[in-house]
Amino acid sequence: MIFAGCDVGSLTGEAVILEDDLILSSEIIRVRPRPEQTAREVTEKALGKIGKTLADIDYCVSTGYGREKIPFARSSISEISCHGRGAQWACPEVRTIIDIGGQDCKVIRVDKYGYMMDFVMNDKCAAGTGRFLESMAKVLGVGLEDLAPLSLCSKGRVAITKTCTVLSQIEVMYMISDGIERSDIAAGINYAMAERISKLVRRVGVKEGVAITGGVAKNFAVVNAISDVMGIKFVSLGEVDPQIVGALGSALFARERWQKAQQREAGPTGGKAAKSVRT
Amino acid sequence: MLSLGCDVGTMFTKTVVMDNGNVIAHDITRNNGTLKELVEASIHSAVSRAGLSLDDIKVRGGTGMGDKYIRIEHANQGIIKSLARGSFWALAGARTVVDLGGLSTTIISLNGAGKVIEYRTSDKCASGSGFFLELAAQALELTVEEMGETVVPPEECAHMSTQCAVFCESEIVSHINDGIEVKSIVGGINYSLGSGIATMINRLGAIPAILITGGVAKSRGVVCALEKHLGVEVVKSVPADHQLIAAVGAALCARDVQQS
Repeated sequence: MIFAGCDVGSLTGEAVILEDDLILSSEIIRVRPRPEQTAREVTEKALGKIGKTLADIDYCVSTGYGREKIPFARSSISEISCHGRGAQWACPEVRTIIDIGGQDCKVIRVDKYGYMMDFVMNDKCAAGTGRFLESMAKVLGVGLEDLAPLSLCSKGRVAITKTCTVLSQIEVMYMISDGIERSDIAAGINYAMAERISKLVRRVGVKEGVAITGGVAKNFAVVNAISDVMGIKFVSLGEVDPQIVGALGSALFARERWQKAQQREAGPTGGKAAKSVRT
Repeated sequence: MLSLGCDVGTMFTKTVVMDNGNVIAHDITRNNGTLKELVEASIHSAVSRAGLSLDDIKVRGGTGMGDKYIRIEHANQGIIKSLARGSFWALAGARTVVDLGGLSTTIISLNGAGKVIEYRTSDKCASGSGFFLELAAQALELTVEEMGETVVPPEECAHMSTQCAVFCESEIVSHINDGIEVKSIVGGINYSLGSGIATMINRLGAIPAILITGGVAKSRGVVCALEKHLGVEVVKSVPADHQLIAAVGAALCARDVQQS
């Protein structure tokens, strides 16, 4: 059976194709003007890699802020639940997930089954989100992916005193004109991100088994800065790309919903049997 | 008596030349490049517009976040003191001063004699600042002045859900994609800005007369929205450009020092 999960975020869209318990393929693209466009394109690309089309999907669940607008998804689930589910599948020890997306940051606590118990989110302020890093890279005149390697050359990082993204941009502009090394500024930027995120994490409380997901999780310098500031070690998600965890979670929900639908179709006996299994 | 005042703000440098309490020449220059040279150029151009040379002016005062770049006597007058002094000069009955600057908003309450009772500065977040307006104008492909001239009744304003300057840019783009009229978007931005400023003023108490200063005070759209939220009229006409009030205050503070 082929299940698909599709996560339409604010900056990127991701799709995961699942066959039973195996990830067949995945894809990440930059968002298009419309969520349905992003969803179709990213899912078709992921399917194309394994020579399949939308018609081959048995069940698709969408997630992310554009999740309500995906015509080929049979249902939609909040990305908070999906991140919990996906991270727990990738690493069963996971109890806390820090998801740093393009326009928000969430800290999610899950039980041993990956079900969400508590969460906090910042989507009011760009500080501590991917947008902060993007704005800072722009001021430094480097690409987003160059920030982490650049910060490795730092000999003494500078402190960014502002929280606000716009005010930090101006602060960095002054630092550049004062002749401060770009690598030292880049290192300061990573720590500014880490400080902001650790404040959010402390509101939920850190439990053992912390995983980091979302696009920013691929920035090793920010991840290291968070572990340093918080004094924690992150668990590994193995082969799973941290950016597709939301889409993976929604594919796992697709599998679960398909199974439930099958059981319902099997009639009252099948339904009862399924219930007793769950309890 | 001739005096000079220079205010190095976060986005603009302002210089005034005054003669017996009247502004006779001024300069407003956008901050870019090296501030030290820029400040000198601004002072030079204001002085030459007055048909004078710097040596003619014995009383000189400076203020603003970049006052360390001003190389004149009495360069550190303090921005609150200068704003209060300038506001009292602009309107002797002013009890509340609302300075809407490039990157910060300052509210000062004055007593009847123009002395500072209390003040609040919001400089943690770019929301509601002049820079915020510039970012929004860029996203809308308008000038800040065009945005300021747009006065829209509240019921025609587009809803802006975010206070964050960065997220606001994205919201503008998605409003445009959804076919919402530019005029309503501008109205929405001005309306939400006015609401934020009114909240700050009310925390300190909106005691009339309320004088508004700073670059954003020139935006009719923001000021109209602010009045709607406050439910009180603010003083709109002042004897000098709204942006110059702190520079005037610095000149007057320096004069006070000289005379005492």
